[in-house]
Amino acid sequence: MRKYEHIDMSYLEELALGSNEFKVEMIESFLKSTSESIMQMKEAISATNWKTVGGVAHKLKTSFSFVGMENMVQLSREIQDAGLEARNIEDIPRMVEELEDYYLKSEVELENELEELKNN
Amino acid sequence: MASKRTLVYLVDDDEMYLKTAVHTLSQNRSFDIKSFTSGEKALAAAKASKRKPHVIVLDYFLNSEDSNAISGLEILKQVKQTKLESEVIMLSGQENIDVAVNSLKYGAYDYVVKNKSAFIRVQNDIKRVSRQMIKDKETKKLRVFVFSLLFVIGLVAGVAVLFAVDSTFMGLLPDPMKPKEKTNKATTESANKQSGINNSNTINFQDTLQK
Repeated sequence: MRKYEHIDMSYLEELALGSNEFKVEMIESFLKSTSESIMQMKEAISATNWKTVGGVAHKLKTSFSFVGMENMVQLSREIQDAGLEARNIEDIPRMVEELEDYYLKSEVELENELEELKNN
Repeated sequence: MASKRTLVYLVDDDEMYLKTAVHTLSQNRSFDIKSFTSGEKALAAAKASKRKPHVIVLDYFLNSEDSNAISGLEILKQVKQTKLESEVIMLSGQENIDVAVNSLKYGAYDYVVKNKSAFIRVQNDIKRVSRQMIKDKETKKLRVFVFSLLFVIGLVAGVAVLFAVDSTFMGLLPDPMKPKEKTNKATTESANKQSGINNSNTINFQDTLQK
């Protein structure tokens, strides 16, 4: 199993039970849903809809855990708590931006992993 | 023919989590898995289908970003109100005591945090529910058998008692044949009287002879 800087595929590997098809589906699902979720959070921030930001961040937490991005799991939890409880809302835009930056870095690694899986 | 496999509904709006849950739990050949991204769809399917789910695995914060959507907790309450007889396992990404307490308060079978051991715990819960359901079914069958047996024994005993009482009762009543016997007795008595006279005549004659 290949080592990456921003992602860790070991949990997904464990869940896949040898199924490459499952790993491909999960990575594709992650890439699609995470980019959509980040877009959704940004729109919710513009509309000052903090509950929506919190709700989206709650879902992202589990998605990040599948690809071993534990620091993003923690950051999502902070955004979730801030959004759902409407506290420290001034920090939310910054946190979402940080999350997006990290995601874009991991996206490259996930695309590589996806290509390798499809070629096997 | 009714399936003996445990029917499990998985309900989560997180598609990645739902895919993983389906993939993991489907490895167990004794489970039939159906997945839904909303509680409303799952409830509608459960009500419409002849085959009701034995277990519903439900995300607590279902569609939490949509204020119009029904939450996992509401779905749990509706499942218990409609008397689907399905056990509900609540899943949550949070280790929150309030979430756990609410889930169990409204009748959830278990509350499971979405961590790395979640699927193992859910699987064990489903197996436990399935075993309990089989046990309950067998107990019910045994109860029906015992009551049926008692009923038959009662019926037979009742008939036997009636028969015995009837026989005894008949013994206490005057026999319809008996008046005829009386007539015969009267006839016999008069006959005896007649014969008594004859006898005395005979005796006198014999006495006379002896003299």
